[in-house]
Amino acid sequence: MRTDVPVWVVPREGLQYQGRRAGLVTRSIAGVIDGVVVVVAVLAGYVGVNGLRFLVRPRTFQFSEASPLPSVAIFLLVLVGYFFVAWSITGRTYGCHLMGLRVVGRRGGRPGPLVALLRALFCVVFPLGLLWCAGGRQHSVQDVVLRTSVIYDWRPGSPR
Amino acid sequence: MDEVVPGAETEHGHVGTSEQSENPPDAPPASQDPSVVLDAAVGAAALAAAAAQLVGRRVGQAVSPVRRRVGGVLSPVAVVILRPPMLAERYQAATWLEGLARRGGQGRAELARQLSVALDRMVPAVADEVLARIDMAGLAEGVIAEVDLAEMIRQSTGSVASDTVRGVRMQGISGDEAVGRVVARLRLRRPRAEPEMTPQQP
Repeated sequence: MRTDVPVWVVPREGLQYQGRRAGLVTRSIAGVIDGVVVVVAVLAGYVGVNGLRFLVRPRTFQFSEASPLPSVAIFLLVLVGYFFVAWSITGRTYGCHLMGLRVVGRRGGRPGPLVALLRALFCVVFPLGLLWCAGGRQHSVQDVVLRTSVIYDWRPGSPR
Repeated sequence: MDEVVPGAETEHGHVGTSEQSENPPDAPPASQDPSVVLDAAVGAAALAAAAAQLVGRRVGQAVSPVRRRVGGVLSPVAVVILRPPMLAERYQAATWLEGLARRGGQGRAELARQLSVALDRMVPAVADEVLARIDMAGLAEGVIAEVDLAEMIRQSTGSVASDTVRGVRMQGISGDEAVGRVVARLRLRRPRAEPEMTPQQP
C-alpha cells in the first residue's frame, strides 16, 4: 500500500498554484514578517538578559545601554541564524509558513545546510537581490547564484 | 423505442435471430462460446429444479392424507428395521448410521478448520496484493478534493485565523501575478535589440 504520498489538504482555489515559483509580493511580505519576528526575538532577548541582571543584582540594576551598531549587528546575526535553522530544517521560515512558501534546492527538496547558510548570509547582506524575482523567471539573485527556488507550498510538513 | 427486426444487423453485431436466418436448419451448429454453453446448462438446471419443486408440491398435496395414515403404520416398522431386537446393539443399522454421522461431523469440523487456516493464510496476502495495486493516496486525494475536506475542517473548527491566512496568501499570489503582468508589459514596450542591430565596437 502506498503510504509515502501525502494527502494534500489545500483549499481548492490554491491547488493550481502549488509548486509554482513565488513572486515579489508574497516573498516581500514573508520577509517583512520574518524581520518582525527577529526584531521581537531580539527585544525579548534584551528584556530577558536585563531580567537576569535584575535578579542577580537588583540594587544596582540599570537597563543596559543599547547602542545602534551592536544592536544592528546582533539583529543581523540572529536573522542569519534564524534563516539558516529554518531553511535547513523545514525549508520555510515563519513568514514563509504564513504566506505558504517554501525554499527548495535544485532538485526540489529541502536545501542542504551549506546552501541554507550561504543563502541566509546572502539574503541578509544583499536583501535587494529579492527585487530580481520580479522578472519573468521569478528568481532572486540568491536563487540564481545558489540554484534554489521559492515555491508556493501550502502543505504542512517538510519536503522529502 | 426502436423496433428490432429479426435478422437485422446493427453496429454492435447481430440482433435477434439473425444467426438462425443465416444458417440453414440442417447445417452443423456454429462453434459456441463456452459461456453460452454454461449459461444454457445453468438455465436447464434452474428449469429442472423449478419443475421438480412444482411436481413435488403437487404430489405432496395429493398424498398428504395418505402420508398421515401410512406414517402411523410405517413408523414402528422403521424402528424395527433400525433397531432389530434380535441383534446386538453394535450390529444394528441405527448404530452404524450414528457412527457414520459422527464421522461425517468430525470430517466437516476438520474441513472447516482447514478452510479457516487456509483463509487465514490467503486473505492477508491477497488483501496486501489488492491494496498494493490500489492508489489509496490518490483515491483519498480525489475524495478530499471532491468533498473539499479543507473547507469542512475550516467550517467545523470555525478558525477565523485560517480564513485570514488563506485570504492573505491568495492576495499575495494575485499581487505576484499583477507584478508579473506589469513587468511583462514593460518588456514588450522595450524589446531587446536584435543582435544584428547592436553597434559594433571598434
